[in-house]
Order: sequence, then structure tokens, then C-alpha cells
Amino acid sequence: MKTHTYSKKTSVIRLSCAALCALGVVGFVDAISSHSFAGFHAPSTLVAAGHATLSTQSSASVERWNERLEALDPMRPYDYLALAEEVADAASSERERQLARELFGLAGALDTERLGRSALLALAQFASDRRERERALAAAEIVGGRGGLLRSFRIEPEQLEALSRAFSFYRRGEGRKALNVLRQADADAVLEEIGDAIPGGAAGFRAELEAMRGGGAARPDPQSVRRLLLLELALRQGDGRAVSLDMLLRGDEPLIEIDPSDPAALWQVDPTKPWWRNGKWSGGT
Amino acid sequence: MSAPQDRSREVPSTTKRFLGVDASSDDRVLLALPAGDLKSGQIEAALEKRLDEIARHPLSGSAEAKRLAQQLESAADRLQAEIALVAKGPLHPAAARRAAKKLQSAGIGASNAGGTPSAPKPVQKPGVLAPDAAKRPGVGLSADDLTDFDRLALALLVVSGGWNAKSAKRLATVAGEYGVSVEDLDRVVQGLTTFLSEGEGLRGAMGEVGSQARSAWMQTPAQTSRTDAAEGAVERVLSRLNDVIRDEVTSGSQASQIRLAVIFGGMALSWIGVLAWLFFTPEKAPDSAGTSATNNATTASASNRSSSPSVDTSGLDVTTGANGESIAPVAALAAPAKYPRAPGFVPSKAPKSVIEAASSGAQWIGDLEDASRQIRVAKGKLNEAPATRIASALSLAADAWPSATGYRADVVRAAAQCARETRGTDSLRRLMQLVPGSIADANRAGLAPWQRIWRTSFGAGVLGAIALDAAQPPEVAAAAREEMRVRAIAIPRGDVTDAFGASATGELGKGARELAEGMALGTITDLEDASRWAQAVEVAAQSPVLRAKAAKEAIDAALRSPGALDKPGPLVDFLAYAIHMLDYTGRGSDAPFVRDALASWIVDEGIPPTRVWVFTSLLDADLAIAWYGPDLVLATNADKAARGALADRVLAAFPKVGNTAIGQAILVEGSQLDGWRKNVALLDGLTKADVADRLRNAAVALGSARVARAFELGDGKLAKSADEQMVALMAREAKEWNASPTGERAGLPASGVRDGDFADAWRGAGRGVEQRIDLARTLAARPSAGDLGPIDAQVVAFEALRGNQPDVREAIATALVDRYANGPEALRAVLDVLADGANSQSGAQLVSSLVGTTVAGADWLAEARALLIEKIRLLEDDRDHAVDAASGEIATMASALAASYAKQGALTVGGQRADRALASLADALRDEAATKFLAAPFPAPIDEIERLRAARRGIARSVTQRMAAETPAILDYTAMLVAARQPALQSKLTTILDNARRARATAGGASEQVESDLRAMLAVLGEVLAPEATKRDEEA
Repeated sequence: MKTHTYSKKTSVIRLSCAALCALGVVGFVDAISSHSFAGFHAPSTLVAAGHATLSTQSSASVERWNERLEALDPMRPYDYLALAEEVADAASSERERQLARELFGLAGALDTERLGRSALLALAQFASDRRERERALAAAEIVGGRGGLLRSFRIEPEQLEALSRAFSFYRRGEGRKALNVLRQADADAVLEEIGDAIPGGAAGFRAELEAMRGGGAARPDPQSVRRLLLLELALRQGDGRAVSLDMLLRGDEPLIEIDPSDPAALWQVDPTKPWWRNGKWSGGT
Repeated sequence: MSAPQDRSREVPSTTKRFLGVDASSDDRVLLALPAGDLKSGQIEAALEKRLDEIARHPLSGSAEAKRLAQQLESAADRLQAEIALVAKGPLHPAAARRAAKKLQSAGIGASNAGGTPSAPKPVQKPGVLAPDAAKRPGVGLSADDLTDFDRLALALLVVSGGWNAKSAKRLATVAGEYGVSVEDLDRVVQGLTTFLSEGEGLRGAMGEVGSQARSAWMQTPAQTSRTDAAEGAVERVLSRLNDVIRDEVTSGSQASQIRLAVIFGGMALSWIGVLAWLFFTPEKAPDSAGTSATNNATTASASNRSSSPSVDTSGLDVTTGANGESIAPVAALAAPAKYPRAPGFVPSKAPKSVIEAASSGAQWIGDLEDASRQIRVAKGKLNEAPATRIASALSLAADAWPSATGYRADVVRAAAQCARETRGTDSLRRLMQLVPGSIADANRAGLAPWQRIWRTSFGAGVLGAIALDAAQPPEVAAAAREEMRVRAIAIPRGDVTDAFGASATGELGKGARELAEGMALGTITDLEDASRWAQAVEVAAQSPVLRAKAAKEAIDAALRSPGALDKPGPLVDFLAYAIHMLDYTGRGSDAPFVRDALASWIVDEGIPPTRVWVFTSLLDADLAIAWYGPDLVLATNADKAARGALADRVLAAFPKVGNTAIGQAILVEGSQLDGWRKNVALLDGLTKADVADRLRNAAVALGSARVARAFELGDGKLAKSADEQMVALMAREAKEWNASPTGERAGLPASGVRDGDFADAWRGAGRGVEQRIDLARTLAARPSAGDLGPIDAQVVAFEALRGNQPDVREAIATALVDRYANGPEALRAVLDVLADGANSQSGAQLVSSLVGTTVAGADWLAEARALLIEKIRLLEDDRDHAVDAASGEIATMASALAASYAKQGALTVGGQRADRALASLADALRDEAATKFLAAPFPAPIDEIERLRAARRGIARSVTQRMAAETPAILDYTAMLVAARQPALQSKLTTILDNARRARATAGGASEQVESDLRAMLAVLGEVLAPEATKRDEEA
């Protein structure tokens, strides 16, 4: 038993060292690259060569689609969608992924009624963050959906009780207890879900609890205390909560709206330039 | 000469003493009559006056007075004789009586009254004779000798065929008017009989005499003679009364006093009696509303009574002043029919069997398509197999088509395809006969009335769709038309956009007659058949005009059926439902149709007035028809003229939507419209700094929309109340918005006490119970304390909930409840201690006492936490309260607006949740928009608006987003309704909608989207409102 424990510790230490080394290497490369992009100094030969290789590869990877790209005709919008799916599947570079996004966008812009929703759903897969993804999904729903996205966030009673106790311990300055309670009943998941409504977010809240555990944090400020109280009430009241509580929990984010008069904003492409000529989109044949 | 003068001075003559005139005076002076022409009545009045003067004289009882009276009568007789000689007017009866009396006293007449007519003696003259006749005794009478009364009596005898019961009755009446007694009348008749028996020459003139006398009587001769007789009568009576009372008063005797007391006592009692009669006589109360409405009709208006000219109040009785207010007496109203509950019904749901049958619609279509292929293979010949398939599929469809709305069009299309494939007269004829609803099919045994109606209307629809399909070969269309004629189905004419609907609706109209007759005869006792009929109409009649036609047929059938309408029952429910189907706002495309139908029912003499009374009462009772008031209820006894007048008034009252160059505007009185626009401008100026402001602005916008809706409905009362509510919202101060809804105030810590003092003392007290209880008491005794500091609060809460010394725990809990129940820190400390768990019983009791609500049960901890936080939240004024209050106002306004759009009983308002109330509003607007006709959907088809709405709902996560998911649809439907009124406004509306969409896309929050959408809605409504023409405008 003891031996086993020892070997576990050893493994942990080894893994930690390896991770630290990796992080160091990554940080070094990142620092160099950031320096090179920022233009502080001339890029080193190694980095320059690396970027040149990447660029060449990207160009080469896009060029392989040239023939098919030039065959596209806005009279046949479906071809854009079909090619976009192929490019997306075979994409090996950011440039190719960008090309796929452009093709999806053009397909949707050229025939919004039939292809718009598919194009937006595909664009949601390429979203860089959650907000952008949600926006694409919502736009897909507006363009051609029928309310299928309806979903509600459900909290189990055990999760809610654990989260509430964590809030209480936080107010009492008992960070350790709060952290322990959060681990119970998967209350952490709820904390993540409502993270936007907590000052500092879920991570900030945890950090504050950690600080309390070490005795380094001051007592919570009254605004945070009140906000957490109301958050608990909002969660307890469920869908029947007052509008003010709902806004505390969900905010007053605008509902996604599509403005047909501004397709560029929706599709991120210029639908007046649907022809692929000389390696770029143009408006004439 | 002097002696006589002296003697006469010493001994005045009788006339001088009594009348103040000389004895030698002529007759006119004696009677105090003026010179010139005299009337018989005038002479008699003067005589009466003189006789009164004599009677009032102290020597009235003397022989001189009597002689003077006779002298005066003689003078009067002489004057009367003069008048009679020149034939100036009739003889006064009193004069005639006096003359007769003289004749009697002379021994003429009375003794010979019973003489035979053959004896031509003057004594046999009638009792009333002209004065000149009395001067010529023994001379035979001529026509000129007859008085007016004689002439009239003679005429009555002639026209009544002699002396009989009829003539006796008439003569008695006339004699009463002339003041002739029965005895005198008897003599007159005898005399006239003698007169008639005299010479042949007179008989020839009898016709002339009779006609003259009758015409004189018709020209109210009695009134003329009464006028004469009444001259001086009132004065004489009053003078006589005056004399009597004066004599009684001046006499001073006891008897006089008693008589006076009796007279005045009697007068007083009579006055009391009159007053009591005025005050206590019960009025005739109208019958109370009972189950039967018949009795109410008996209080029908005077305005509607037979040939009552006051019925037409538009022209005479009801006039309006310069400001439109009524300034003339309001015509009496007919009491409307009343029922124990409002007539009408909500159609029941279709039976499960029908819904199950409708679910196999795809199978019908498949069978029909297979059949069409078989026909094509057979080169157009309809063989047995496809015929069976077609018959089966169409029969099943006919039994369930109103419930299979998704398949109905496809079934009709597939049936039309079968027809298109068929060739040959026999095959086509057979195919058409396979369509359900033939006479034989409809008369099958076992079919419920609604099933028969469904089948016949479906068959008519299918045949109509084939007959009017331009793509069908001519022989196919001809076959369909032939079958329609066989079934007596009206072939729709003109530009038919929905052939199925037009044909089916026609048959549904016939079905309504069948239903009405069944209800009237008692073969249909419930509303199941009517519900199915309504369901079929709802599906078949897609346009307002078709729906109106179906409703008109139903109303017509109910009004003409023999069943009672004034009692509750299915027939009146059916009638009320049909009435409610029609659009009386005057805005729809069916407005002329509805208006004309109303008037035609009212004037149709084939419909008894009692039934029209019920019909108009139901119109009055229908709250959706705001303009139809009780003054438009027909009386049960109204005649043709009254019905015509009512029809005119109904036509005048029917809403007229103002026609402008670009369509129909909502006309609003100028000052009201200015007020509305001013409030909208004020709304634009309201702050929108935060969510609460924006939600408040949204509520105000909804209030403005309510006012506009009231304008549209022509409901001034609603417009006023909605306007007041909206203004009150705008005027509410921020402080009021932020105030706690419960009004509770948070307690404050005691001043001068440091947080932690109690905690230190508590620790210092050790575990001694007494010391701790004492400390608890000091806690309760802190002056002006409503809260604790965080440190002390934590200690107190811990001890109150988790203390292990019961007495101490109870003491400190008591102090907590008594002094710190409204302390936010104390409540928060209790909440946080609950995180460690607590004794369930004492803990629940403590929390119950603190929050004022009993907390119990297995989940008491969760409940306790929620209640504690809620109490903390409500203790302080906060902007959050403004958000909630504004949301509540949105819910109130939206619900009220939705109710003003919704049909009666068709709306379930979404309570006090703002998002649900807005959803209800969007639903109501959608239903309203669905009844409108637009050549091209604007701004989008309803299906597309609903799809977008559902999609927005799908991505909405917060309440404000759910609100923002509804407002675009509200805006679109509002634009649709406005465009339906004024299609030419579409370009303007498009601009507004585009701007709204851009504002929505760039909005920083969902509440901003809600506000901008509702502001855009006001902009849309503002386009359709127009100022009403003033009198001056009209004159110009």
C-alpha cells in the first residue's frame, strides 16, 4: 500500500515536471513569435522559415481547390455549399478553414431560403468561441428554424443546495468549506453555468475562495454579497422568477436579429463577389 | 218738469237703485251691452251678470228685484228676437228655454204635447222655438223657423231612420251638449214629427235641411255654443264663492265659523290626499328579467308604437348640438330580450373518431393517386377497381375533412387529377356520382345531421373545384357542373379564388337551415351538430366574405325557423354564434354585405317583429358590437314604418370607415388625435437610461396602442381610461418605481454600539445560562435597534439556531424575532447559519417568525432560504423593484390590449407575466390579421411571421428576450392590419419596419429591442389615424 502510494506521488511529480517543461517551451516559442509579429525585431531565421513554410503550405492547400472554385457559378448556389463541406472536411490549415467559411457564407447569402440554415449551422462549427457559436446557431434558427433550439437550463435540487451553502460559506469567509461544498453534487457545473452572473466569473469566485482558505482575502464586499443572495433566489424561483432576478441571472443580452439589408454582417462575405478569379473572390466573370 | 225731476231724485227708480241706470234706458243699456252686432250668448251672459248684481243686492228678495229681473229677461228676449230676425248666428239655449217656458206658461204646448200629428196646431210646436216663432202663434212652421238644435235633431232622425234606439242615443248626447233636458227633447221630437207631417213642400227640402244640420254638427257646433255658454261662467262661480265666503266671514256667527272650519278643513284634507296620492302611488315597475324574455317586450318603446312618427329620431327627436352631444329628448327604448346567460356557444372539439379518421389523410391521397394512375392506364376509362378506391377515399375524406386540414387541399387536388385522367361521358358521369354528398348519399339512414352536412359540403367543394378549374378539360368541367345541377348546388360565379370553399360554404349555408329547423322542431336538442357545422365553416370559409355568407345563412335560417327565440335553447345559441361570426366593424371586405343583411332582416316582413326584436337584442348584447345600442332594438309590436325607420337608423349607425385617397383611415376627433400624438411625442422624450426605464417606456407604448385601438373601436370611454392610465405611467416618479412593493423598511443598527461588543461579551460570559440569558435580554433592550453588525449577527444567529442550551437559545431567538426581524444583517446571518444545518423544529419556527410565513416540511431549509432572501430583497428600495413594476405594467397593458382584439371567449390572457401577456397580444393580433384580406401578404405571410416568432422563442433565454421574441410579431401584425385598411401605406410601413429591424439588430439589450419595437408599433398606428372632418370642413 505504501509502495503504491509512493509510486503515485512519483508519477505525479514526473508528470508535473514534464508539463512544466512543455509549458516552458511553448512559452518560449510564443514569446518569440509574438515578438516577431509585433515587429519589435527582425524575425529569427528559424521562425521566419517556419512561417514561410506555413504560408506556402496554406497557399498550396488553397490552390488545390482552384479549379473547382473557378467553376462555381452563383446561379448554382448549392455548388458552393457542397464544395464548402468538402473543403471543411479536408481542411488542414486555417486558410482552408477560412475558405470553407467563405464558401458557406456565399452559399447562404446566395440562397438564404434554401441553404441559409445549413450554412449557418456549418458556420457554427467553425465558431471561435461560445458566443459566436451561439450567435450562428441562433441566426440559423431565425433564418429557417421553427423553434427547435428551445432549451432550458435545469438545476437539480442537490446542486442548488450545495451552491447555496457555498455562497453562505463564502459570505462567512470560510473558503475551504465553500470549495468543498462546491465539489458535492456537481455544484461546480452550476457555478460554471451561471458564471457570467457572478462578479469575476466562476473562476474568479473560486480564486477568491482559495484566497480565503489561505486567509489572504478580505471580507466580501456588500455588492457581491447582495448579488449572490439574489442569484440564489433567482435559481430557487425557477422560471417563475421576477424579471429583475431573471435579468440578474441571464442579463439583458439582445435577441439575435438578422438584418437582411446587411448580409455582410450575417454571412461575413460580400455576396456581390461570388466569382473565384485569380485566387480571390471578385464581382465579375 | 222740475217736480217729476225732484221726485225721481228723491225716489230713484228700481233700475237706478239696483243697476245704476235709468228706467227709461233701452234694452242694451239695461243689460250693459255695447252698441253694434250682438251674439245670442253675449246677451245671455249680460243678462246673467245683471241678474247676479240683483241677487247680490241687499233687496234681492224684494218684489222690485223680481220685477226688475223679469224686465231684464224681457229686454234680453227682445234683443234675441232682433238677432233671430236678421238670422245672425244661432240662438242661445238659455234663450230658447226661456221662450219655451213662456209658451208653456201661456198654456201652449204642454197640454197638447200628446196630440196627434194630424192636428196642425201651433201648440204642437217643439219646446225650443225661435223667438220670432213665438211671436206668430197659429202660423204653420217652415224650415226657417227651426233652431239649430231642431235642425240637428231633425237630421239625426233622418239619417238614423226615424225614432229608434240608435237615434234616441244620439239625440240624448246632442241634447246634453245643448243643455236640453229629456222632457224638452221629447217635445222637440214630437214637434219635429209634426213638422215632418206638414205640407208636401217642406218634405222636398228635408234632404237639404238634414245635410246642413249634419255638416254644422260636424263643424263642432257644440263647441261654439259651449263657448257662448261659458262666457262669464268662471267669473260668476268665483264671484259667488267669494260672496259666500265673505258673508260667512263677516257674519261672525258660531254657525258661520263652523261652516268655515268645515270648508277649510275639507280643503286641507283634499290637499293632503292629493299630496299622498302623488308621493305614494306605486309606479308601474317593469318586469324583472326572467327566464322568458317575452314579457319584456311589452314595455316596448313609444317610439316604436304603431305609426309612431317619433321612431325616426334621426330626423326629429334626436338632434345634436354643435359638439355632437344630444340636446333633444331621447326617444323611449324598447326593452331588449334578456336571458339567464349570454346566448352563444363555444364549439366543442371534434369526436376522437373523427380525429383518428382524419389522421389517415395520407392514405386517402395515396388511394386517389393510385386510382388516377389506374384510370390513365385504362386510357381514361373508369373501371371498377379505381372507382371503388375513389369512392372509398372520398367517402372517408368527406367524413373527416374539417379535421384533416393538412390533407384537404391535397385530397381535392388528387380528386381533380382523377377527373383530369378520366375520359368519356359515362366514365366522367360515374366519377362525379362517386363524389360524396349526392341526394341518395345524404339521405342514408343513420347519418347524424352534422355528418350529412359535412358530406354534402365536401362533395360540393370537390365538384366546385373541378368545375371551376381552368386546367380541366371542358368535358370534365361540364360533367362536374352537370352533377352540381343534379344536386342543386349553386355554382359559384364571378372571380372565384377558392372554388372548394365557395361551393362548400354554399352547402354549409343550406346545412344551417337544416340545423335551425331541427332545433326549432326539437329533433336537435344540443349543440353538437352546430359545433361541427361551425368547425366546417371555419375550415371551408377562408375569406371573410365566405364566412359572412355562411353566417348570414345561419342567421336567416334561425330567424325564419318556427322555433322560439325568446327563450334559452340551442336555436338562440346558434343564432348568437352566427351573429358573432359577422364582422360589424365596417372595416372588412364583407362590410357592405353585413350592413345590407342587417337592414334586410329588419325590414323583411317575412320575419315577425318579435324575432327581429330578439335579433336586435342579441346585437345589442354582443359586446363586440360597440356601436349597437339599446336604441336600435326593435319593439315587438313595431309595424312596417317602424321597422323601416329602425333599418335606416341601423344603416346610419353602422361604422363608416373614413375613405381617404389611399384607403380607409381611422377617423378620430381632432383634439383627441392631437392629444394622442402629443403623448407619443412625450414618450419619445422619456429617459431610457436603464432597463427599468426602457420597460416603462414599453408599457407606455402599449398604453398608447390601447388608446389607438379604442379610437378604432369607437369606444370613447375606453379611450379615456386607457389615456389616463398611460399618462399616469409617464408621470410616475422614479422614487415610486423604486419603492419596495411591500412597503417594509430595513432596520438599522443601534447607534453608539460597536459591532462585536455583543460577541465579546458572549464569549466572556462563558457557558453560564443566566449570564447568557441576561445578555440576550440586553440585546433585546438596545434602544432604537433594528439590525445588528455582521459580527454580532453571526453570533446571535448561530446561538438562535444551533445553540445547545435550550433556554438560552429560546431567549436569544425571542430577542432576534422581536427586535431584528427587519434587519438585513441579522436575516443574512440566519441564512448563512442555515448552511450548517439546524434543528428542524426550532429552526423552522424561528424562520417562520422572522419571515411571517409558516415554514415546514421536509424541504423547509430550501423554503426558509428562499423566504429569507426574498424578505431581505424587499426590505430596501431598489431599481430592481422598478424593473419588476414596469414588467407588471407591460403585462397589464398587453393583456388589456389583447382583450380588446380578442373575440369573446377566445382569449386566455397570460396573467401577470410580461412575456406571456405579450404572447397573448401577438396571438390576438394574429387572429385579427387572419380575418383581413390583402392581395399580397404584407409584410410577410402569417405563416412566416409565426415561424420567425417560434424561432425567436427558441433562442430566447431570458424573460426580456422572450418579450423581444414576441414584439417583432406584434409589430408585423400591426403593420398587416394597418395595410389591410390602407394598402397604399405599405411603402411607408416598409420604411418603419426596416428601421425597426435595424434598431433591433443594433440594440444593446433585449429590453431595448422590446422598446424600439413597440415604439415602431406606435409609428405604424400613427399612419392610419386621421382627424375627423369637422362641421366646417363638411360645409366647405
